[in-house]
Amino acid sequence: MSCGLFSQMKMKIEIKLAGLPLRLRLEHAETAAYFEPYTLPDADADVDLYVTAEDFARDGGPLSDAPGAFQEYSLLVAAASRCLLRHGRVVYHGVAVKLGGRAWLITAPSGTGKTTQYKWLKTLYREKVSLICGDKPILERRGERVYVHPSPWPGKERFPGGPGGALAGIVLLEQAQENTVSRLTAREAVFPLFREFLYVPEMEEEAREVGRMAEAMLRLPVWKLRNRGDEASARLLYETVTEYETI
Amino acid sequence: MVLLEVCGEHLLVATGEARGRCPDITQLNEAGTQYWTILCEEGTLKAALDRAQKETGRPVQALLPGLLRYVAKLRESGYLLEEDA
Repeated sequence: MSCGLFSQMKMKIEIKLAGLPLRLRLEHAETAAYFEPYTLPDADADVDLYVTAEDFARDGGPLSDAPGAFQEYSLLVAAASRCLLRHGRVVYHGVAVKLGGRAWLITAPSGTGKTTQYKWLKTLYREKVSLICGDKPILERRGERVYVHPSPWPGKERFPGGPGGALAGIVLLEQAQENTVSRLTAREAVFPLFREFLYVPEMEEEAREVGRMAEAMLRLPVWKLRNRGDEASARLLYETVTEYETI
Repeated sequence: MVLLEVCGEHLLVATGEARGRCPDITQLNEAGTQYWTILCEEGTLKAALDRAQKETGRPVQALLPGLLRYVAKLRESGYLLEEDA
């Protein structure tokens, strides 16, 4: 099975993303370096992953000045979701962290302050905070549970990520003048949560699988943190999610 | 367009050729979901109105303004490709 139209590629490597073996076909050999931690020779993959001409036509414009390998690496996000969705997985936009040993997603549109929150959390709580993925983790749905995995897309700061785990909850960030936190209903959370899935729905079944993923996520606590991006906001976030676990 | 139900909430998701013609994702309230479903299944405004009247028990004169406003919004947003009388 191939994800997209097959074309002649210069290099092929076998990788594993979120436990799924994939045969990564690359136009640029340099792209392989981004996937090195995920390389698994003899993974016995039968799913091909590569960037198609349609991917490039749709999303390649803003990247046209970037080196070819970086373009390919960036465009592989949507291509990866296309493969992963057939196996109950998808790439998501957010910082995935472990807070007090449990996996949380901190999500919001780009530029809202997700990385700032992570840096404050790490500074304040050190070994009680560990990073799974700094930008685009992979989510996996197993029945009604969601698992968070690291990915080859850790973000521009390229903080090293670590092992994932079962998702305990989600924090939606919003910039504000004051730091406040509130628990969201499904009605309030569904749209901001849904728009951060990184996939291109070409087929109805892809959208439905993302819907099933969102349904599983919305069974978990979703908090909205309106914040100034300061130390106090990180303390509020940490205390909220860790105290909630003890209730 | 795909109508998804997620934890009792409804989202319209543009897929395939619909992408770029209308919003990628829209959250619908209860009335919006009902109207969307009826319009998709019935295909014409008249048939949709008749069905809405049967399902709600409300007279056509009471339903028509709301349905027309809804159809106008669909047209504005790019969801409507053609209209039947």
